[in-house]
Amino acid sequence: MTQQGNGGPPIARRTLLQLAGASIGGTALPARAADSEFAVANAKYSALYQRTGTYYTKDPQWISWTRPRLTWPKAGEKVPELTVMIPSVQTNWLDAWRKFAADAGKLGLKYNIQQVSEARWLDMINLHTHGDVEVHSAILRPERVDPAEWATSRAYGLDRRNYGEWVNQQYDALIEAQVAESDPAKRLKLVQDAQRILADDLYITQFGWGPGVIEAYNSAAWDGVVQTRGFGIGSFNAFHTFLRARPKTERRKMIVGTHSLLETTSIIAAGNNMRAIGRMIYDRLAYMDENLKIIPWAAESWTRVDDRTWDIRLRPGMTFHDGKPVTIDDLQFTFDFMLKWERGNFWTANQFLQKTEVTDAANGILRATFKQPYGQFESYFLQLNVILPKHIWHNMMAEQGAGDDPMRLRIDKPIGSGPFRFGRYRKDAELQLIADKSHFSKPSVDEVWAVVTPSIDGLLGRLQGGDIDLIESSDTHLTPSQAKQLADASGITIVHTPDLNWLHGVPRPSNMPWRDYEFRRAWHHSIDREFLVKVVWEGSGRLPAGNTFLVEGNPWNNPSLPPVPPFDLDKARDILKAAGYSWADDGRLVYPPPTDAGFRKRVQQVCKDGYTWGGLEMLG
Amino acid sequence: MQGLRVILRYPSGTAGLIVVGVFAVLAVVGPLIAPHGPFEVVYRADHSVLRLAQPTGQAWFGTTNQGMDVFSQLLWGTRVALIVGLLSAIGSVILGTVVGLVAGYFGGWIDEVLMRLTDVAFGIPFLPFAMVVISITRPSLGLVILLVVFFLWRTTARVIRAQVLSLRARPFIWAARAAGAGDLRILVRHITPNVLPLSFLYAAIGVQAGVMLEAALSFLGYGDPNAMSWGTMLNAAFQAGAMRTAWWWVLPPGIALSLFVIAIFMIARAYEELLNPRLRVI
Amino acid sequence: MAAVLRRVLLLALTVWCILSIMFVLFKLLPGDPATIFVDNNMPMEMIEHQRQLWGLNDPWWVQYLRYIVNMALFRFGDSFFQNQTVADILAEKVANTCAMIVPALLVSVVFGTILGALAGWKRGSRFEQATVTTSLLLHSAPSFFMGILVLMVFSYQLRWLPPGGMVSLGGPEGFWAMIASRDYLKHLILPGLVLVSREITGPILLVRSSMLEVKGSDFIDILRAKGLTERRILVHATRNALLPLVTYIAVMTGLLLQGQVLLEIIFAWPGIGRELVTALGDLDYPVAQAALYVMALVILLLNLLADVLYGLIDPRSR
Repeated sequence: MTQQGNGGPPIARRTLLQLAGASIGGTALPARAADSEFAVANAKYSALYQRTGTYYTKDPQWISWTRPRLTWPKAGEKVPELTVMIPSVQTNWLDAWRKFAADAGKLGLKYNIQQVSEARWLDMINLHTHGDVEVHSAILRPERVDPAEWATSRAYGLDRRNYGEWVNQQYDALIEAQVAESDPAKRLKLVQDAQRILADDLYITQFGWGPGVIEAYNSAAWDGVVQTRGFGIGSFNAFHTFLRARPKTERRKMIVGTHSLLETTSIIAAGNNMRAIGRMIYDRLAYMDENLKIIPWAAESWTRVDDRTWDIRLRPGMTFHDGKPVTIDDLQFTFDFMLKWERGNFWTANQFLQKTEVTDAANGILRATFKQPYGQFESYFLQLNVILPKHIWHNMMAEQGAGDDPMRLRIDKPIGSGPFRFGRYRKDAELQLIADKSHFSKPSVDEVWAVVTPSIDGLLGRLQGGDIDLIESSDTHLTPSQAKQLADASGITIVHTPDLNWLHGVPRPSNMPWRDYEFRRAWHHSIDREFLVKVVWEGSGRLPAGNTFLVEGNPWNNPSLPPVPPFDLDKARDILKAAGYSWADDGRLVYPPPTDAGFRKRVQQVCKDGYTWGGLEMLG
Repeated sequence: MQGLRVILRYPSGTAGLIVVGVFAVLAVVGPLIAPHGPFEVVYRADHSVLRLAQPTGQAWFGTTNQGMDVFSQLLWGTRVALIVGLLSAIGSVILGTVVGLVAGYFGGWIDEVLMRLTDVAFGIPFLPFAMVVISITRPSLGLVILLVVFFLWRTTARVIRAQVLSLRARPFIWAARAAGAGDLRILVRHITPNVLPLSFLYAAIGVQAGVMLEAALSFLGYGDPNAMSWGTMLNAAFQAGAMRTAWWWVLPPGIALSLFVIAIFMIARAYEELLNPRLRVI
Repeated sequence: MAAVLRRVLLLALTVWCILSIMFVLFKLLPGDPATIFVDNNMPMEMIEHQRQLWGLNDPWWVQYLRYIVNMALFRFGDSFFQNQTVADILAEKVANTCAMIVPALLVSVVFGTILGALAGWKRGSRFEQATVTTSLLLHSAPSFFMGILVLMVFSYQLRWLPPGGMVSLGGPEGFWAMIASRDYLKHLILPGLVLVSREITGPILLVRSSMLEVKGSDFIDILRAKGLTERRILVHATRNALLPLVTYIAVMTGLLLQGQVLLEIIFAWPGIGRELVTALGDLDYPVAQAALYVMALVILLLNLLADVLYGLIDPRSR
């Protein structure tokens, strides 16, 4: 049924391409032959398709997907089957999609929903061979409160994570401006304008805002937990609870149950948990409070000199866990180290950094100069960067023979200046974090223990039995029915924290049938968001108020977006009918005839009237 | 027929047959009598979702966290179990028997190659291997059956080969050869009928293993997302953290699975006695 | 001697085949570890750099040769994500898996032998019937459901035993200190119970049938005539069953290892099976590959052991 070549055997595409790549002796060659077939409206955007490696216009799978979707439909041609890939771990997504597909069937749309392993899903979305709708949810981290994380990565025309290859030049201009806007108030305005265009042009559709952050904790033993917006009380990403909770009993150790613990103890190579826990051990420069307001941390203050220069003033009197004082030299060293070696997790924050220099050693002031005007200084740069102890790290690369790859460093016992010292650690079992009472944040607990309990039943059972005090919540939130089970247990309090989560679908405006704005409009009406929120999420979530990733409650949200097209199949049918679509005998939706001038115009301009398309053009 | 009579001579065999019969009937008519689809959400009269309900009149075996009817899922799951069991048994026994026959009868390098292949098959740990293969492609019932077949044929092949080796030396084979019968004729007319009972025994064991392996894979989250099997149900309950409280969700698929495999096992044992009391592998 | 050499060569051939299959499989595995490992924000150039570092850009035959040599020499390299050598990771996990399997096997053999001997001795008794039937039923029941069931009853409802893991918080440090602790025993009981319920069937049936054979032979009359006590005869008969028992255990342990994945997941046991599942999910190829290889190797060696032992018992099988 599908016209695309995605039903074929999963051949060793990569192996074949590697062979090809090896035989021509490199990967950075621009492949001309394939590119000539596909044209972009604005030459600037051919850069996306010209990237190194074996992607997009150099990937036979991408080509076999895209070519038919950029070919003008013939008279009476049906709208093709729409492919959706869902990672098999995301059972909730599948539950929602079963309903979406059933509803779309009533409009004559046919979905081909495939469940694939998470690895395969990641591979496909990276290669843009995932089909028609990319489904994605928010995973919050402190630096992801910065709007660029989503507004740029998911919708900017030159970003490879813009999975629908949507290129709206007005939107892109705003995105380019906001990254370089160092005045937060002006940047907010730009980001809000960008969100309006995103919503207006009907690119992504928000399926639901949620699931909500529901947590439970042992209130018989603890008082004063801190609810951080979007994160909740028990996240290592927002560790205010671990600093400020007050013990009600003799026990001053807080025990936290987690699904999984550290994959590494090196913050440079940190994948997931160490990214968060590592920043409890190494101080970041700035942090955020429970309302997501940026607060000074290891940097006591910072002053903007001009739009690409800041002076960072180090907090005086800090010490590393081995007793050595933290000096401005350590900070200077950290940036030197990062710029020289690091190209992983920190690079996203440091790639724009040009140089740093100590301008006032006595007062601990360091000047950071960026290569271009920089808008993410507070919300990204200071959030992500930490201070490494120079006396331990300065020769580490050579001593450990790590070559030029700091990811190979082994740091078995990390030493930083953060509020917690790295204590006893048993891989995949437990980690002891000992509060550093001399730290400026003045932790009130003595110790935090992270204990691995990989099943949700185990976690809930241990919470109920008083074996753990709370559940680490960056990947485990409770569902309402789980919370209900726990609510009856004595000594357990359920906490609901306003969330910033979302689940959205990214269609493919660069391809048919999504190029037709009217088709997109009708499709947006075909999504029963209430089913997702009420049934699948058990009511723990919100109906989206606008088609934006910066949901209500996010400091960067635009509160006056056009409303999300409501679930209304009749309306959707009317829109399609008015736009020239018809229905075949078997009920399937049929494209407007090739002679339909309005249809041709819409497909060519892709964007809504008033915006300029810069991406792929139809063939022929 | 004679086999059936022998099985019925054992009370355990009879019980096994009855249980399997009931499951077979349910597999055929179950989806027809199931009050709901396997993924259908059950609503109360006031349009709220009937979620994690204990067994009631409206949902005999209660509902899941998504408000799906456990009883209906169990019925649909029976069909999946039977399909997987039968197909993987048939597939593995055909493959195993053919390999065993050919290897045992022709001997020489053919035997050597085929037996080395079974060695390889014996060295592969099934569940991890299956998970890798499913990660490469996408989960589907067909793939699971295929994997189970590739896992099960090896035992059948070895046992059949051993049987063929002993048959080959028997006088009636010499006699047939002396009478001018060709290899193919001897293999088909004289040897195959003598190993078929053994194949049937391994088919029974194959049904049991197939159902169990499918359940295990589904429980690990590598099952077909569009087929509601018993393993899928257990996986959903495990993922939802319902094992502490929602016994009505965990026990039905678990008990059905156990009953089914034990019943098959009892039939197989009774049948085994018929074939050869000395064959009694444990 | 020649026979032994042939065995070893065949084993090597089998291992090579399995390694090659694994190589192809892991090449086909989706997900470029480089793209998944590095941060989403990272430029494509960095991803290329990482691929180069991991040797993913070399021609396939270079990768294949390197892989075969490394595997043959047990040089598993470094984990992609864990900043540790694969060998270190696996050594720890294998030890943990053994900490579950070995005690369970010991208990199965000891108690299975005793029960089997008694059952055979008291042929036709209620006791024999009950033992044989129960063990057969337990043996054929799906072990992961048994695991769930005992968890539901003993951990979640009665709260007698911990719901998984190897030790409680702040347990003793070091592997042997842990093994020696009562805490570990408490964690071992449930998964151990499930394993024993499966494994005990073999010893029971084997020893029982050997007992029946002995009882039915003239041999026993000779023993009686020699004036041996019933107890001594029992011991004597049991001894005859031991070699087949060892063979059986070798094969069963191999099978056990395959199902170990399920039990380790249900009981949150940090063993090699769970590590393999996690590594597969994380695309930590070196770990997954080596874990699969180690499991296959153990199974093959156990099969070889069983073959050799079987040859000792029954010379006809040569």
